[in-house]
Amino acid sequence: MAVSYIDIGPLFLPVLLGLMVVKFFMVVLYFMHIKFDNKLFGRLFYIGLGLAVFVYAAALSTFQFFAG
Amino acid sequence: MAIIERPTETPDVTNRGTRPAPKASTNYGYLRRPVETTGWRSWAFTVDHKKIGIMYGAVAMFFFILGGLEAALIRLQLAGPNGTILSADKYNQMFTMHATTMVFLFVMPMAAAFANYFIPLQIGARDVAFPRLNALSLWVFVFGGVFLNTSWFLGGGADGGWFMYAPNSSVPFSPTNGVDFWGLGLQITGIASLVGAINLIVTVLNMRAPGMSMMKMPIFTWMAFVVQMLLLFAIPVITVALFLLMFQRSFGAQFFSVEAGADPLLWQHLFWIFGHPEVYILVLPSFGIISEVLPVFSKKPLFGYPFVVFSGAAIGFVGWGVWAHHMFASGLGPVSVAVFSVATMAIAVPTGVKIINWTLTLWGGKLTFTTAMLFAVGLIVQFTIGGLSGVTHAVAPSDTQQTDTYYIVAHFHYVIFGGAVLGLFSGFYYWWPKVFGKLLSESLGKWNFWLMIAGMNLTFGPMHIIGLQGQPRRMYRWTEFRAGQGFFNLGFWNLVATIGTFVLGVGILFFLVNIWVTHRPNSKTPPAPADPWDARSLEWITSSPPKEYNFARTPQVSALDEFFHRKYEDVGEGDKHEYVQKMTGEEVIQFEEDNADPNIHLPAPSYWPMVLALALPVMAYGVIYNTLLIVAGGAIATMAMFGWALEPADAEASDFDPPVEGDETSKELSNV
Amino acid sequence: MSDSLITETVKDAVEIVKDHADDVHVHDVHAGDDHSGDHGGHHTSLGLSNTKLAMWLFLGSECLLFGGLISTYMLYRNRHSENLGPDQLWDIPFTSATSFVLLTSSLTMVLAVSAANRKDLRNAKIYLSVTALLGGLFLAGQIYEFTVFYREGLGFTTSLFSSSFFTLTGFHGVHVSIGIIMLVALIGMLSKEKVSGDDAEAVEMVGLYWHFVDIVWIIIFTVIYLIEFIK
Repeated sequence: MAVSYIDIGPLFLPVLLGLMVVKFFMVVLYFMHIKFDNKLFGRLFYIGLGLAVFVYAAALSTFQFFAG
Repeated sequence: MAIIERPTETPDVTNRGTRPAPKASTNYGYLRRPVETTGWRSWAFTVDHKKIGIMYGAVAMFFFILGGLEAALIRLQLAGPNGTILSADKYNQMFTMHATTMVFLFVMPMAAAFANYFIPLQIGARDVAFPRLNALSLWVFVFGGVFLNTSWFLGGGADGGWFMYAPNSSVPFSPTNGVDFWGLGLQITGIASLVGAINLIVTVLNMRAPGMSMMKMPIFTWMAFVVQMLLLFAIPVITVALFLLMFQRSFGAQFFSVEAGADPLLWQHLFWIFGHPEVYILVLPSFGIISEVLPVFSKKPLFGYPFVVFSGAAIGFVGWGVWAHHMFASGLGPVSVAVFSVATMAIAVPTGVKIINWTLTLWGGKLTFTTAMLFAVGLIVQFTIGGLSGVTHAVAPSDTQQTDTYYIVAHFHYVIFGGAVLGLFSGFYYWWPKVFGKLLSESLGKWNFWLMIAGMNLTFGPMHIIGLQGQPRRMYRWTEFRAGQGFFNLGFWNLVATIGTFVLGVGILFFLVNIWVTHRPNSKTPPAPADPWDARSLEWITSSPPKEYNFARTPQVSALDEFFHRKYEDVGEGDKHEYVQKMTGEEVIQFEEDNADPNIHLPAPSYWPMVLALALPVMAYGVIYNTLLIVAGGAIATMAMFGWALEPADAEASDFDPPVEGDETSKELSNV
Repeated sequence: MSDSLITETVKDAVEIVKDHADDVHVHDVHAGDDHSGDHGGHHTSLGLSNTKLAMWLFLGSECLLFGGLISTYMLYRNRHSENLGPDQLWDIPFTSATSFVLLTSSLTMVLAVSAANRKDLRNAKIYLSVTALLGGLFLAGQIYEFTVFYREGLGFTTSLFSSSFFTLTGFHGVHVSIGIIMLVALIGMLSKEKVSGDDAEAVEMVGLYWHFVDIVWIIIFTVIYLIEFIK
């Protein structure tokens, strides 16, 4: 909780997104057993995840979404 | 899961003691499980992938004819100046429903028919991974298609074009319920595709016969597998788009209200992120079919099997990065246009690889021009024309000129009719004896082929000219005054296109006549031989039509083109291959049947897939007319899901009429 | 305490995966005379469970569904009237609390799966009930939050922002509700012993779905709620 009280300015966004990714993969890898299970399950899921990130990031960037 | 017990000489002792004694069915109250093997029940409640495949095909064929009649009306309207057959409004509905019907209710389900029927047979499985889900896909598709078309009787069809650009499809511009029917109907058929995709992917990954590695799979199964992967990831995208449209139209959401600041490109992006993979969803199954047909009638293995596989997979992947080439004229900005233009040119490469592989399969082969082969070669030629005009769209400046003209219409009909539809017809002629046990007439088949080829070129060829002359894609009438002069006279070429449509129609009529001639009650067509084409792949290592359990014993696979390698022996030395026949196809099949598996387990039929499927259109009517219907549909769905989940694996002995005894081995669902 | 919890969880996970692989293998051996199983007595070529493959495929597909909804929201998040935007409406402490509830439910789900795998049906039922309760609590929080926003004037049709916000979080809420229904059904089936020890896979399947709904919320909470606090 302490982090939210420290003003880290421009680092806020990367730290926030970084924590999100860490949490996301902790659940996927450990709670959903991807780390221990057959690799195929993970691959199928990551294809979907990767495609989603790719197509929607591309679509948003045609809207100049990331340009500021 | 229920059981089919083959009657064996030596009764299976281990099973005797464990079988429960007959008791009243506890699952359906006073209803019995639908275990009939004849009559309509044996079709309506079946979970057999072959019957489901046939029903998919029959329903898709019905929609093909319906979509064809809609096309005929469009062409009649445009045959001469100032057409009066259709009003502007009806014309809009006609081209929208023609495209929707052909894409979603004909080509996709027809490909699903082939995939359903042949994937389990080609990989040596007894059924798909989830037989009841398979039945669910079928009925969801059928009810969704019917729901979509009831709009004709309830205020008119959708009228926004098949890509239904918002905000043009919101209420002020399209006040009837047509677009609501369209959106909800596609939502429903989308569920069918998604469920089917998951089912078939699991089947291909997990149900292959022993020894069949991924790279020993028949090529049609490979292409169908890529298609299911595309469906799996493309359907949710259009699901989002359709939900947004539904919320916009039925519940007052703002997604496409430009006056509230909405971005009109949102719909276009969502639609085409789905829409471009959809193009490959339409055409890849046909690529798979002709990749089976060409080697068989060239008496050569498919040239460069791994290249055909990987180029198919590459098309599948790159197909996700090119969608915005449908939007070059929408003001995306130069960077986006350049990126998508290059990506689009890149995707021509794997497609070209395939065409080269097919050509080299033919090269030096002993060609037999059966009707199936003619359609396959027809596909190579016609699709290449469509592919080349496609490359002209990849070049953004030239595309800007062609956008929304008949040139586009020409292009995608060469690709979809010349690619997808010719391939499907090739599949009909090639696999007809496998599915129905009789060969279609070759002479009628040749009439069928040549009339279709002549018809399609007469219809879609002139559209290149009238398109480049500037006739807009969705113009409902044209005037003599602006038709132009001489060779480029729009009137002349429009008339040619209309005549071509009827030639095409007669060609397809020959196909229907062919079916009738072959199967009419007193038909003289003899049963087809077990291996009429000297085929190569696994689906032929069983009788035609296959028994309910597919294979007498689960085949052991040791080679690509397993059936061929069982029939022929390589007597060549070193690198030189020389094949001599050691067995006929009949002998191979007989050998399998002589060594049949003693026990075969097949899934039991079920009511629940149809009940669950029925709930969806009820809910959809509810969205349009009355919220109470949504609740009713939801209740039906919940009931069906619980019934589904609690349905036991085996049909109980008391479900059979007369009830079978506990340890009888005659608990069969088919004439084994 | 948390360290041992983590090691325990990891150990359990390895165990579960191994166990289920064995189950599939057992089915394989019995292929031909075993009447149970989803594969109709058919062997599986990868030695994997059909249901689990199907679930992962479905979850992969769901990524594109939520991706589309999140993108729609991202595109429209600034398109609202002067005083009805995210920075005026968000109540971060409250939403943090409901998020914490949902994340905790993931933990109890893990415990339920491992209990089911140990064939400890009593504890499995308890943990599943707690998971369902926490899910219900999260939903109640979401409904409360929607009501507050609505009182402040933010309806579904108010602006592009509101339409896309309610659609995204609503879809997530529907997913949570379906998850709760599945949990309750599962508890019922465990009570009637429909799910026997070897078929603890059903619990694991619902678990996968539940965790997925949870990771979707991790993304939503970050990019929809927290990100508004970039100054």
